[in-house]
Amino acid sequence: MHAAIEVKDLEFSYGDIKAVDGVSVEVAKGEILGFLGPNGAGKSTTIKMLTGQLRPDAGSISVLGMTMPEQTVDIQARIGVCFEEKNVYENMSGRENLDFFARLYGIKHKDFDPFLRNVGLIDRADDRVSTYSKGMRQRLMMTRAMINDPEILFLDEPTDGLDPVSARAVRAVIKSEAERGAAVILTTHDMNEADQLSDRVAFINEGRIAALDTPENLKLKHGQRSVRIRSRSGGGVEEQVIALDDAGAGDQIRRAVDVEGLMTIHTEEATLENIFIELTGRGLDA
Amino acid sequence: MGARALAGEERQRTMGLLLASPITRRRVVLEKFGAIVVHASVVGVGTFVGTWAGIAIAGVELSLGGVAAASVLLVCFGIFLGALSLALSAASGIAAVATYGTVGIGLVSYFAWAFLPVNERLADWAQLSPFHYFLGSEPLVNGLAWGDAAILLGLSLLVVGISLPFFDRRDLHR
Repeated sequence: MHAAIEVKDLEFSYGDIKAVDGVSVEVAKGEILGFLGPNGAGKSTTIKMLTGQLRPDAGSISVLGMTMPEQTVDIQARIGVCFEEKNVYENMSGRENLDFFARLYGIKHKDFDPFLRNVGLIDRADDRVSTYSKGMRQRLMMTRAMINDPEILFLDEPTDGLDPVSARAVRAVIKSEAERGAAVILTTHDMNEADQLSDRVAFINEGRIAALDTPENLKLKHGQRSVRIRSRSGGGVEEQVIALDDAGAGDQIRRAVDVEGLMTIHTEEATLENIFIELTGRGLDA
Repeated sequence: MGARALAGEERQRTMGLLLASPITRRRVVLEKFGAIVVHASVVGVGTFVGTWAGIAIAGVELSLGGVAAASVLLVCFGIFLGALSLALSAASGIAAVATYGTVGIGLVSYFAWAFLPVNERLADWAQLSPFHYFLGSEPLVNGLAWGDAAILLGLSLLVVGISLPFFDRRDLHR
């Protein structure tokens, strides 16, 4: 049984700049893998190689049991891509865009209404894309990525800059695609999105994978779980942070809450961004 | 049109999406070339019909066959320029290179065709200009020079063919 994607020792350089430097990863069917990293970390370049737009300088790519670049077109017929840039044809309507791309996949006379309804574009489907908002274009891009019922979805910053309603709609689509059995590679620098959606996350920095695991495991391995307790004390506010992994943490918590004037109790755990900074020494917005 | 065909797609950032679809880069170039052929043919037919109507209205004595021959060569010449522009676009990915490169080559070859014959020793070199195969046979008077049309179309296929490996190998700008 093949993994949906198997990548080994992938390398790519833009001139003298090494954008991807020895990336190896496997993605299973139905899995959502979050690719986390700041701008310029090598996320998009990796995706471009996996979707056949760039040829790697070194390394091997196997997608659905087929190899690149030998079987690129066969692979492309079974994947869907949604890029960060809203690159659809502006002079066509949303429906015409879908029809155009569907024909490139050899799909004719497909009823796009269920797709368009699913992302809330059915009422504007026949309007020119140039009149669409950024969120509508992104939802159209998502729809376009799914016209061939792909077995793998490559999504590059799919909710970047979207309003909360559009972002929620896009996330719902991503989850339902994974439940259908599609492998999803999600590149993002939004740690919350990666945390919410991903089964595993890969931290990519300076072209290398710095860590690869489930969000929970990363937090357990690298983060410190704690409870922050605030209470009124002598006209001021006292705050205690108790590490849950410390010996006697239970007693400390009991003592801290057994006071008059207790105000708030918050459990705290490391965020993916904290862990990324710990592992790489740089932030995700860098 | 040739310049916009590929470099324009790169500028508008639609090329990446196109190339992530299950079509080869060669097919993209060849279908764009097909569109140029159709476009040039439509312009040629329009030119013929317009000229024919003008002749009929003005009562000018001009052979309809000559107008048709000139229109056919115009189409072939248009296809050549479109192919040249497409090739530069495929190789560079920059619309300005394709546009100004084609205009530059067009101007140089026009002046070569127009002025080299002034000097007897250089006159033969004028045959290297594509204008020689477009207008050199005086199609309005002498009718269609099939050989010239074939040379223009052959050159078109040659430059598109040369551009294919360049487009196949290079990275997209965007």
